[in-house]
Amino acid sequence: MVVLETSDSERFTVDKDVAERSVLIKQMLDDLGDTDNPIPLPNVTSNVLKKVLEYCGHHRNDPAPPADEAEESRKRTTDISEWDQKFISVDQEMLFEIILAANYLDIKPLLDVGCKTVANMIKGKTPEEIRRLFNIQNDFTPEEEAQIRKENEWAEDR
Amino acid sequence: MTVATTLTAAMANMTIPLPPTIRPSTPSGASPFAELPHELMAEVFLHLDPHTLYTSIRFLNSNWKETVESHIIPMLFLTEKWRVALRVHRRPRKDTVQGPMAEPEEARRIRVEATPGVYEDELNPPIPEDQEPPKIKQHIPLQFQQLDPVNNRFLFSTGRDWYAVYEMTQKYITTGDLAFRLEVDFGLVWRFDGDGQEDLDSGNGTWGKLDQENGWLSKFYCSSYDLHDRKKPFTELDASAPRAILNTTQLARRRRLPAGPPIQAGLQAPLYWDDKHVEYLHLELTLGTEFFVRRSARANLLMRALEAEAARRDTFEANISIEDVESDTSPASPPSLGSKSPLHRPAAVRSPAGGLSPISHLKPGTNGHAKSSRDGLATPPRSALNSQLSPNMSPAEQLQMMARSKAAAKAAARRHGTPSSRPPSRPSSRAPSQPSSLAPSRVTSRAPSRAASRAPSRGPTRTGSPVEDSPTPISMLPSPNQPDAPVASPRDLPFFRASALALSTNSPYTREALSGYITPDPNASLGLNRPRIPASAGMGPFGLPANAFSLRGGGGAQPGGTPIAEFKGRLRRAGGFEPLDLQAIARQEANGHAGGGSPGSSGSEEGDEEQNQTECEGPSVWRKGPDIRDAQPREFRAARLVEPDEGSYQGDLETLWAWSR
Repeated sequence: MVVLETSDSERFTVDKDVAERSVLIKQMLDDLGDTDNPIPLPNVTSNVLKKVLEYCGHHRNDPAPPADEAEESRKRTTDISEWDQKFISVDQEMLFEIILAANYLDIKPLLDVGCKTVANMIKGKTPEEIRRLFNIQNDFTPEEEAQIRKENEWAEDR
Repeated sequence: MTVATTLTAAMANMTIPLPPTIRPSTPSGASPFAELPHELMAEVFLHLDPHTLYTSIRFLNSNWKETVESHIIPMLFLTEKWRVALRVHRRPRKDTVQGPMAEPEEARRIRVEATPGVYEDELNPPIPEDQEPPKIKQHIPLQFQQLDPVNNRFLFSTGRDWYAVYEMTQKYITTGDLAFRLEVDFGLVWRFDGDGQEDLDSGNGTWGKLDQENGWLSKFYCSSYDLHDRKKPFTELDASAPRAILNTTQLARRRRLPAGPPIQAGLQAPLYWDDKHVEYLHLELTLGTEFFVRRSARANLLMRALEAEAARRDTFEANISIEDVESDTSPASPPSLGSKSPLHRPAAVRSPAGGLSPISHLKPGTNGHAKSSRDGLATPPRSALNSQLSPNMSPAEQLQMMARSKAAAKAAARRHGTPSSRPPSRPSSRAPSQPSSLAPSRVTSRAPSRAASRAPSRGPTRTGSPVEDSPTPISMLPSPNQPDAPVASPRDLPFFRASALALSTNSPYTREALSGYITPDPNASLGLNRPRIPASAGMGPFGLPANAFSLRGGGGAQPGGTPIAEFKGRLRRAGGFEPLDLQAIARQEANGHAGGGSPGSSGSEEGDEEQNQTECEGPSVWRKGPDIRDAQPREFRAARLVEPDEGSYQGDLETLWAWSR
């Protein structure tokens, strides 16, 4: 068993194989060896870690992702599985936190599920809409914008 | 009515739920994801469809433009989330000699490998006499080279890989007859996540199907018209180093031949797989980005249309409910201005984020809009309209019925002197108000860059006001029960608009809507889209149906049209290569020299080329190669391109094959 301690000082005791879905935790365990000391996770809160561990528990028997990043990406499935879809049906704030946690804990499949969910939400949106949603500043000049609009015209419903 | 039929079928199958949309969570309209670091945003954008990525993310700002062009798109191709291949299709062979049916596989291999002159396809199990020989299909993967954002094109090539495509016949050698080349045809296939062909992702289906809609654009033959023989190599195309990887395919078979003269009387030299009669292909492809973007744009626009239709239907239900209430109580009295009418539900108003998807800003599962959208168009709404809607009606019929009823309701409202019960107006410029101009109509989908609804004002209405830009569906025919219902032209109905685009290029309406984008007269288009596909290919004369229009410039929806697919192939017989010893190369690499050569890898330091060119003393050494997605076995050998001033190669060294649309 492994003990994980969140930023709000809550402790979770989980099976080692569940915890090791996180590459970060796996590497820490490899470095530390068998230890009873809790592993600190200062970037993850308890409610988010609970959700992440739920994911890791469900996927504990999945094959380990390939070491080669390109190969791993190639093998990623296009669609989100039914269980994952239900799992990720959370409010946007929680989804945001899950993405950050998956990135920090280095859980690529979970990061994929989160990112794909966000991507599905913005499909088909215009640059202006996405700028607003992601708070991105537009630095194109009016002339460049006009050119862009012209370039995109063919793909739009007009 | 082909288009309407297609639409109906497509929508009847539309059972997928509409995805939730991202919502702003701050007064500025930003969502929580605005706090994501740049690299995680990039990770999100890696999962986007080509349309959103290319036309929206690329134009967020200059930083994202650079990220998309130089990082995200190359990464998508590198990881094969997006991929392009040349599909090569060969007619079944009639001259295949088959061995005994019951011969075990290993025994067959030993027999074939010991028989001089046999072709390698005899290694395969024999085909029963009562069965047709199978068609031969091979996919040649293309490696992404770069994006040309100025011209909206992707550049691909086979890198160092050359692929066996043709078997030179004796007839060609004696008479120069090139007919053997016509036994093979080519098509472009391209895939991306979410392209709608996921159900084919098994076995050999991982490359999907040819684009049926644009077969005239992406399907071609090698004819003498496109070929230019040269005694010198086409060095202008030779961007890669002279080393090559020659790959076997099922298209051109090797033969089992002795490696040399008999060692002594009665003792023949060892046999090996000879490819001297095989012609190899190396190709470079320039492909318009719209090959990717257009397909996903259709899906996105269709999704918008479905969302809008669901919102419209929901508003309509509310209208009907109000009518019911009015008729049940006091039909002549207008509703109280102060009352909270369901009509004022924000079903179709612009979202705080300026979103285009009125229904989708609401949480799924918690509101009627989302529910109606998830139910799909084939589900009749629970309203008074249900009494008129038959479960057997197609979605198109249901929509027409709904439109008639809505018009009747409006007319009744006018008679009663009620304020307009129209839903709040939709966003003006890009509102999802014209499902018809979207593309379920796959036939016309390249054309309506200007939608039917953008046609000039069609004159005043009965009340004297100009017709709105966003059409309100109204009845085609006056209802006997509603004599005052306005009569609409067919184009006011979504499906008729789409049909009109497909079936007519002669109406002033269509001409105006499509002016500048297409050539309405098929005859006039012939000079622009020079036919390369014979009628026997099932495309009809010139690859166009009789009443179709063609796109100017042979390429696409971009105004003015530019050549959208350019293909530069180099054909070279095996005699134009000298074998290289891969083992020696491997030894050199093991000793610290970089620059290996394996199929699919084109990278190597130029400085190592000379060291790696270790010629074989004997015949080619074939090695097993990785399968190319379609799970067909492949062997390859390393070789070096023969220069014109060296070697003893006679005749035309290389053939340039240039083809474009």
